[in-house]
Amino acid sequence: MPQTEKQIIEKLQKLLEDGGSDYRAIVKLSNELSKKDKNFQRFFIDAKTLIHLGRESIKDHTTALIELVKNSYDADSNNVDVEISQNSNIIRIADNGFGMTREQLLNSWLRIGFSSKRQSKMSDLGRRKTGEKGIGRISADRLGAKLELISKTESDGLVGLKVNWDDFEVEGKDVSDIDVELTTPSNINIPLKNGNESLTGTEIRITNLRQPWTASNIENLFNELATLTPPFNQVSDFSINLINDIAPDFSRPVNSKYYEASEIDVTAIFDGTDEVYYCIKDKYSEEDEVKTIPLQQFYSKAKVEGAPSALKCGPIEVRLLLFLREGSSVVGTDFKLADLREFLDNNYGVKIYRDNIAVKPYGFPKAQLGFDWLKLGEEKAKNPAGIGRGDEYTVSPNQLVGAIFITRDNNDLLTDSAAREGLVENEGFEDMKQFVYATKRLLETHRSSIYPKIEKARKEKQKIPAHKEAEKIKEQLTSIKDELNLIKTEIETGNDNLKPVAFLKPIASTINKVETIAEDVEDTITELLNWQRVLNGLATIGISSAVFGHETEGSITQFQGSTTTAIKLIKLIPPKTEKAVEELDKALKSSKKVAAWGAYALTRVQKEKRKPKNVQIYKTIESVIKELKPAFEASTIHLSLKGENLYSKTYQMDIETILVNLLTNAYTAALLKGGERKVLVNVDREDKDGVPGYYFSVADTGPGIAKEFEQRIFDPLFSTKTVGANESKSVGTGLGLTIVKSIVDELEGKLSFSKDTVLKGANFKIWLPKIS
Amino acid sequence: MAKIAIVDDNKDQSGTVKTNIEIALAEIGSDLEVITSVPFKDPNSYFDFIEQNEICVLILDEMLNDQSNDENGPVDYKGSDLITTLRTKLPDFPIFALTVIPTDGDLKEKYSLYEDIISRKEFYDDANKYVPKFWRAAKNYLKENIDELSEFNQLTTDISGGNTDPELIKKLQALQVKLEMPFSGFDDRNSWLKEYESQINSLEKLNETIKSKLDKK
Repeated sequence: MPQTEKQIIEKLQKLLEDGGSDYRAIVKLSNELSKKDKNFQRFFIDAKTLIHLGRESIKDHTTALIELVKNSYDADSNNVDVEISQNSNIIRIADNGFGMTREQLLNSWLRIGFSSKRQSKMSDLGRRKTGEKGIGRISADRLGAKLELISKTESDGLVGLKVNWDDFEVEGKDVSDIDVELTTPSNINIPLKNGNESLTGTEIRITNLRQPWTASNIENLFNELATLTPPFNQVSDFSINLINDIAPDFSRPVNSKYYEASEIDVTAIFDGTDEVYYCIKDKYSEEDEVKTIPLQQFYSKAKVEGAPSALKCGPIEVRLLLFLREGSSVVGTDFKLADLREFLDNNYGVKIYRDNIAVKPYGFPKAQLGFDWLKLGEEKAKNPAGIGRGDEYTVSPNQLVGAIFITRDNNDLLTDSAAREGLVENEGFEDMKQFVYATKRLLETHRSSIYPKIEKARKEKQKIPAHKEAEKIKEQLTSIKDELNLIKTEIETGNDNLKPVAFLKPIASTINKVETIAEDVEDTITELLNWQRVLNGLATIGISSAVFGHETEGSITQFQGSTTTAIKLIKLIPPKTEKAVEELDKALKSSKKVAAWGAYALTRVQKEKRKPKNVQIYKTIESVIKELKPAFEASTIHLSLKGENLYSKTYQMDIETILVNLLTNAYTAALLKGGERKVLVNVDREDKDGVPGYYFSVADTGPGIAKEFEQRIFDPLFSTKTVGANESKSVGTGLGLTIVKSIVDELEGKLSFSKDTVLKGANFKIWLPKIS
Repeated sequence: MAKIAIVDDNKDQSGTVKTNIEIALAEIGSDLEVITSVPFKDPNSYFDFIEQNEICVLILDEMLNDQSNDENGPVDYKGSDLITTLRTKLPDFPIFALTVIPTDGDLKEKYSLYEDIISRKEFYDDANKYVPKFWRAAKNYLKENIDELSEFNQLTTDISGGNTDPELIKKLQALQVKLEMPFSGFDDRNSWLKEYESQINSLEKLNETIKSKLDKK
């Protein structure tokens, strides 16, 4: 029943007279009383609003956690511990920043929407604060139901509070109806400051976690934290230590120095008016190229047409590092090739750093829309020319680690979009993008200009390591030989007092040395073979894509054509619905073909196929045939398989690579003739010279191998695909059969070919030993 | 009725192209018809196909040899092979290539034999850019043929009327070549006319003989 104004005043007076300790009732009554105001009324906020702002407006738990770490950065902390323990059901973020006094805790932290960053944009250390909306703290609700905050300042010592976010999830209550418990903590666990106990800092403990963290979540978090502080030197005073019990590999300090391994390092700084300073460093030139030139000249140097006379984005600095994923990149650095590759897998992309903090989603490898925001991949796909092709050469997006440095104060137009992720894509943004593109072109033109130097260095490097490796092994073996000789001489010339035990130590040490060398050699050979296996597989994808590409391209075009045609038909007056449906059916049919081809390419070089294991030969062949069948059928080639299942210990990828190459050849051959086209694959057991084995063969209805080419078909770069019934130009790379032969040789098998007696075309037969 | 013909082994593909051309033709108010055909086993069959169906523009797919449309299997030639055969007898006929990969080496080699080589993707993206081109090629071809056919008629009438001016005969021969008409024996025709005349003479003689015999009776 509604109370009168008088009743409320009386109740309130009574409460205050009783000592005024029931604050919740006093607040509630005061709120009720204010609603009796006849001239002015006020908004009041439903408690659930907090849930909407926090839990529901933050994309995922990684983003929520990053928001809290950003607060630590803004608090001028040097170190942040981020701890996620699934076993203890807790997330802890602790920093040695400036902490909060009791007054700040009550009047700032508890005030939703309040951000000290709005009052002062710079922190005391000169850091530009990262968030401005004052809702970062409620993102904690996305992580867990309960939050405990402890903060330490020199003036107030330890202060704390506890929030149970679930309390806010009630209907019809005001936000001020919900209690937030104040605590008087006795201790705080925060990182040290310069080796000593920190006098200030904040620790947030979140419990009753809302969702489990997977190893992949942790990996993402690590990568995102790594980019909070760029892999560039600008921010060197901020370190994050990630501790977790989910992915031990990522339980370590978040940092990286991989830029040392870059092939080319380009920095371009636009001063905001009309000049560009740039610096290009590369591994092959002794001197850096450093210049300051007018903006228009910069664009023409980068060979970018349509240079704007002015840029609206304001001053920006672009740094692009080009990395190669090869052994030569880590020569002279402290890290291994595998580490560099991992770093690139985790960090490739061109990121935007505003005041040295990454702006998501630009350049994040796993961000769906943001990763290739400069469309480098699309450009590379359109023109996959290599470095030898001069100005046409473009870099691949996964080779580039880049940073664009902007500031809130100097880049007015580069503002946050309302969705809390990304910038508003206005003119300023477009100009920035264009400038980054020009810098990328500068890097590309530079790389192609130093191509001769690269080639020279590459050739030298190819020789040196192999030579050095051999020399090293030879030296070690010689020293072992000397030691053994010494022992032998001692024994032969020794007297009766010679004790065998005296030789145990040198012999044991020699054995150890031999073992080490053997391991080294084995590791090197295994790595090389494994690498060759991957390259063979990749080359095979390339070869088959070039051959079957027409079919895929055709399906993509048909898909697109049918869709646009359907739209046209629907827009006609009156609309031709039946025909539109017909077109959509065609589009669907084509999309399935494209999807099948995508699946084929993706499964070719899977890691598990590169390990030796018991392989079901027939089933492996059957699955490759199933994947390629649509392409064959599209060209009216009947592809069939005969045989029986058998097992052999081998590399599944090798079998697939051989088969795909032979099928690609058979496909091309069969197309050279009209009429009935067939390709037949046979698999069966066959022992050779007493060695248990099996074979698979691929026969086709094509024109067969001409006599004059029989001797040359296994030569690298020789291709018969230039010679056919139609004098069709080459789609052949001349690598397919070379790859097949090298694999067969490595597996100690036999490769033969003949004219197929039934299909009348070529018949390639692969025999391999069957290993149990 | 004059027609644009699309030759493609893939019926889905040619159907979509046909629809796009029809929509665009309707927009520019053309009454040209559009038909589709799968490739013929014998490349020489196209000449009859063009004549009998009053084709005025031909659009050829490049990979004609992919799909089978009868029990004989796919054909053994591509669009770029077919164009060479077609140009032996149809040097000025408008022929376009429409293909997924316009950069194909075989096709590029034959570039000069086509009116244009059009990317299928670009065609779908902007059919309104290409269809007027087909239409113009069709109109020019038809106009030229109509003008020259009427000139041809005039010349044959004149020559058969007894005008044996060598210049006229030369002109007629040239038109025959241009209109791709059977070239066989203009001289034969001349001699045929002579023989025809002589036969008329003998008929007249016969007539006179009959008349005189009747008169005698």
